[in-house]
Amino acid sequence: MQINSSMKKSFLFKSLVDYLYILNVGGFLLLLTTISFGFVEINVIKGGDEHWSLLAISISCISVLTCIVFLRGVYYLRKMARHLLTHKYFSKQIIKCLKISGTHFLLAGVMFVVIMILGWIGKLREGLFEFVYDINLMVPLFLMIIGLFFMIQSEALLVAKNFKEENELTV
Amino acid sequence: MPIIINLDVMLAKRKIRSKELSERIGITTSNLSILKSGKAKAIRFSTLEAICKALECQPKDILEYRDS
Repeated sequence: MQINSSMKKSFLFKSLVDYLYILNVGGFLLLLTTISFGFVEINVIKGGDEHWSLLAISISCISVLTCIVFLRGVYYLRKMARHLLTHKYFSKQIIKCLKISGTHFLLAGVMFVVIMILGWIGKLREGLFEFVYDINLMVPLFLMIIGLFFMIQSEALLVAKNFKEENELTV
Repeated sequence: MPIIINLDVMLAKRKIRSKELSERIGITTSNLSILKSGKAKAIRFSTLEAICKALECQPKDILEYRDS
């Protein structure tokens, strides 16, 4: 009964992570394609200049990098979810994937904060001081919390794995 | 690990087979094999007591410390 319920949760978790990964990869590729073919025009931070400023280029590059780092984090989360279906909770693969995924989410969160700060500096240079309190402010915070939680969870699993091995090798 | 298990030596001295000992002390042959090969990370006092009783020996005859 317990295993059946756990199996259902693991399956649901894997399905959700799969959807998240497919939607993100699809969205990212679609965005890259539309930008490169010029279907979409990007607004440069309220500048209206024809040429991109160094700040705008930096923000764009970091945004793409953040997206890639986040996608890599989701990819390892997906890998971990696949291993979860085998019910080997203390396997090396799960611990490793959880740690890598956590590191990537933490890094993506930090990069998100950098983007926000750069955007804020850009507006400040235009003489506009503003502080927007919205859901976007929570995204990097949540990413960093999740990333750190995954890293802690991976360390906890490693400790548990060692205890389990010791217990199994006690005669 | 600097703790050496001399169970093989004691079994040879008493002319007892591993399977027979495992049956006498009530542990599986695979667990006895783990113990004999030195892969075991710990041994219960109850197991040690059972082995000593079955082989009529002291714990020091089975366990040995070698500084490596």
